[in-house]
Amino acid sequence: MSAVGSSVQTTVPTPAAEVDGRAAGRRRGPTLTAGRGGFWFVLPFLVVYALFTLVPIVYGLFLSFFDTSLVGTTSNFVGLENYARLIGDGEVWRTLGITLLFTVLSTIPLVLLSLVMALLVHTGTRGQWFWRFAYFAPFLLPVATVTLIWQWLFQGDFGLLNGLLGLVGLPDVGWLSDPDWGLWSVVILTVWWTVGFNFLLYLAALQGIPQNVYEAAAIDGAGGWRRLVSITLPLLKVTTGLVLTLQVLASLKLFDQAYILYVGSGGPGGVAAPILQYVYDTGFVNYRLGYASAISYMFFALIIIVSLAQAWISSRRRRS
Amino acid sequence: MATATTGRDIARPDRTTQRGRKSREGVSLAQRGSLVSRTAIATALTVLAALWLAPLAWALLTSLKREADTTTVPLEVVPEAGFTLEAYTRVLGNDNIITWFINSTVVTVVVTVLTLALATTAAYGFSRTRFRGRNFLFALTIAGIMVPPQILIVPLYRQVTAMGLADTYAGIILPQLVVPAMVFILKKFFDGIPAELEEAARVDGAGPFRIFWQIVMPLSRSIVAAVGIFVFIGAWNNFLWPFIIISDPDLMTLPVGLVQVRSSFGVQYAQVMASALLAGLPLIIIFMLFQRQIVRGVATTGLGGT
Amino acid sequence: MTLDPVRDRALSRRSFLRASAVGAGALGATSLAGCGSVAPGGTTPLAYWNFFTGGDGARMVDLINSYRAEAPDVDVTATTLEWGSPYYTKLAMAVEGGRGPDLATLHASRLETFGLNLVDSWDLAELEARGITLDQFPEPVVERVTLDGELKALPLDTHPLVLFYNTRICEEAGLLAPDGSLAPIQGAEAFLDAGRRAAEVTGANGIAYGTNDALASFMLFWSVFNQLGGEMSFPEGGPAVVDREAMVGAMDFIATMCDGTIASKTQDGAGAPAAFASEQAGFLLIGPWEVATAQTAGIPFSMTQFPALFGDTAYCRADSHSLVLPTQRSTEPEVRAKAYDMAVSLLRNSLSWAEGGHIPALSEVAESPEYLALDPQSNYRGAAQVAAFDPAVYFAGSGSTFMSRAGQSLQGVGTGALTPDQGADDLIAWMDDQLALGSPL
Repeated sequence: MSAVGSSVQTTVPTPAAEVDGRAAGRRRGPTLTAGRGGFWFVLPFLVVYALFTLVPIVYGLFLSFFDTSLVGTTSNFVGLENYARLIGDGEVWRTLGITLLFTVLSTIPLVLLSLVMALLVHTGTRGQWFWRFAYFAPFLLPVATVTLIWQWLFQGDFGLLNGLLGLVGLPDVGWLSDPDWGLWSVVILTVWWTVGFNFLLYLAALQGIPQNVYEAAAIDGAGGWRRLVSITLPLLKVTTGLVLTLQVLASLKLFDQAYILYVGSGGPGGVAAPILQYVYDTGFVNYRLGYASAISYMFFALIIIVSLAQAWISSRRRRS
Repeated sequence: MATATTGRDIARPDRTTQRGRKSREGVSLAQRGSLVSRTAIATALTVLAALWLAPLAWALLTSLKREADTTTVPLEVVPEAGFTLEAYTRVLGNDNIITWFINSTVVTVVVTVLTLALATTAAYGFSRTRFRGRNFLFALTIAGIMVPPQILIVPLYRQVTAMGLADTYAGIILPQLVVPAMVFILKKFFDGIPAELEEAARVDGAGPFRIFWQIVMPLSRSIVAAVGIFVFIGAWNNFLWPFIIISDPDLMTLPVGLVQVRSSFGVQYAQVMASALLAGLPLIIIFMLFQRQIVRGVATTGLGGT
Repeated sequence: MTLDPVRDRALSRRSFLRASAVGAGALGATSLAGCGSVAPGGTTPLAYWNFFTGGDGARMVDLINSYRAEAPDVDVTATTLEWGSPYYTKLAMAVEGGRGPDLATLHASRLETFGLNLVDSWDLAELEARGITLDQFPEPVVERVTLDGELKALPLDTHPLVLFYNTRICEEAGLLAPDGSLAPIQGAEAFLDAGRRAAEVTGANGIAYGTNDALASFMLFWSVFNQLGGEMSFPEGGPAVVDREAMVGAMDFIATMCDGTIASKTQDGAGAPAAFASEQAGFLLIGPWEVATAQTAGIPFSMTQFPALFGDTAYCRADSHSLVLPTQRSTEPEVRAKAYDMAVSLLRNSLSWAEGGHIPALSEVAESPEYLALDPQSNYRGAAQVAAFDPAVYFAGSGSTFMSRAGQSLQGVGTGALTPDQGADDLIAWMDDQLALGSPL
């Protein structure tokens, strides 16, 4: 989940649905007349925001130009040395590669599976509450709970997964010890844990499709499958864009579950060490805070580029 | 291509809550489809649900076994010796878990209350009042949405340590209070509240704070609840920051303590599963109580994050 | 600053809680349960951190409890954190912030990596007052924990690479001496041959060895490297000065051993003891702590010192669980005195600790008839005199990046993905990179 505060992405704000009854049809929008007291309303938030977001952003950038150590007392200005070193540091690129690979491997099932789940539940099959609970409940669990459970399921000798493989006569898989499986285990765990969130986004989108669209299609004699392909899926395009963006950004920030699953080791042969773990290891395990800051900022730039690219694409889509 | 155009035109409803007839009760493939397709759908739903619940079920089963029965080969679903609550008694008899539970509760409740207080007031200020620099400050706030908190761990660690707040509740709580996205969501909501309601109150001589508290907040109960539930979930589950800033085992939150502190007696799977499930229990209960709000919260705001 | 840091912290926590209780609902009162470190009237609180779990964990609890019985006026809070970098990282962060425990366990090999300025030196006079002097410890261990003439860590034990052998399999393979113990093995060829003969009996491997495990492969590598006379030194800024010939030689030995018969090319850290426990191998190369695994399995086995494969001295990679005094923002003499008492108590009672396979560091225990009677745990006690510790540099030691990175090179060599030459180049290049980064300490 999130690191400091919830890392939150917004989609669309709720309009004032509940005042509909009272003020239907009336003029809406800010009055801008409450006047002077306004600044005092935003001040408390801004103070905390400045102290715990803006200041660290600037301070972190500052640190990235120093060779500050976690335990040392001296700290020297090294200019761009940390950034120069980063370019030649194979581990930065290797862990970044793992992060990108994880993003691809996890995003595809997380989007497709959540869509399938939402379409299935949206058929109205009895037990709505139960389906929603089953698919969404894991998302509510703390990452520690999720990872401890999966560590147990993945366990080589007594774990459920290898036990089931054994029942059908398949050989054991080294879920947590085989370099070929190390990252897949993190993907499986993550899909199980977070698919419910995307599922709810899709479900809400499906429930927002007006009935009359389908009625018109039914008159044309479109069957269930055809309705799905030619009406429902095209209508979900915007939601898919949203789900995809949120998922990519979330997957890029992989750390917690990979760290806990492998107790900080990065997995067999280091195949499951994402870049944020390299930041953590560099800064806190190996005491190099300055260099860790520089790596953070390189990664930050990447996140910003992804966010801006998404914003640009969606605004272009809206304009056309 | 014709369908694509249509799609775009009516794509809006999937992004905003449209009042009016929805497909919720209406179109339902299951009701209209053939028996075959209905069976297929029900089967697929059941298989997926079984896959999704199996890990939890296995964890629960493990937690109800004696330690010696957890590592049998081949797997035993029901151990010969039967089930026992031993693991739970052991776990709950352990001071650490109780301490972490209290820490998590304190931190989560304080974070939720303070975040809501800061975000609602700021959103109201940005939405309904005018002051110099308002647009700039709002833009600055919105820009914060793009900052992943994980990026800030190094400078925040140094800063919070320098402030003398490492290993304190304040050190865990304060950095979690900044959630610009919540301000954005609430502001958009406040923007939709009709001006007349406030004007009437102002005529009656109410000041901005009274208007906020007596008019705007009561109208916004559901969005505030949705935001509050999400902040609560995020704070309860937060791992990285408390993990970094706390080294005193007496001050760890549940997720951090579970991961960091080990039993001297080695890995005891029944107890590990029992404590992992106990850590998740409050949120499962909250989901059972507030399923509608949570589902709506996700739907309308798309918040949360992994 | 003469404020009591413990009390100070509890107070600030309490007052913070009181302040937050307004917003949080009446949670303040219950939260005080979290303040475990507040001393009840007249007793001294003493915080001790360690990373022992399993059998070692249970034995450590016994040791702590016997100190508690000796000193009822001391309130010992023992905390067990996840071993490896999580433990060391948390400990360093706590100490750096002035919030470290009063006594902590550290691998002797981690001293430089951890940061010498994070631990206070032991006062030899204080130790002597409690009957402890340095001549009571094995020389290589004392040498490793003494830096610039200061005793930085008090050794509790030595745990070397040892050779486990299955007596039934070895008997069948004709490898036992008349007295039923393993016939002495002299030289690499004899060792490999013993492995081959054991493999014939098991039909699987001769030697269980964690090819893919950083710790197991590093232990073997470092032992052989030392037996080949290898040395390394690390000038500031690099490059590393390495006896490349010895390094290639040690890697060559590993490559030869991991031929798929003598030892597996793919076994991992958990697989090796498991294979030995299920009699799929006649030997096991790992630290002595696996004695519990073998005993639990109920197989006929014994243990012996890792033999001299090259040269005359049976150097073996070893480390020592030792005790350190983390620096405090303000050291309270009373608490510090209790930390000395507790450390000495742990050392004196380390006979039960030895059951876990560790060689007691303190001579009065290591030479006691009770310890000498422990079989097989005392069979390899001579290893403490030929212990080879990891290089003393800021990135090495048990559970360090050096060990895990060396593990990668060694795994490559073991699986045949890298030739010994390539393996050596790979590891040396990494060390040069590390040195070029400069020490963060």
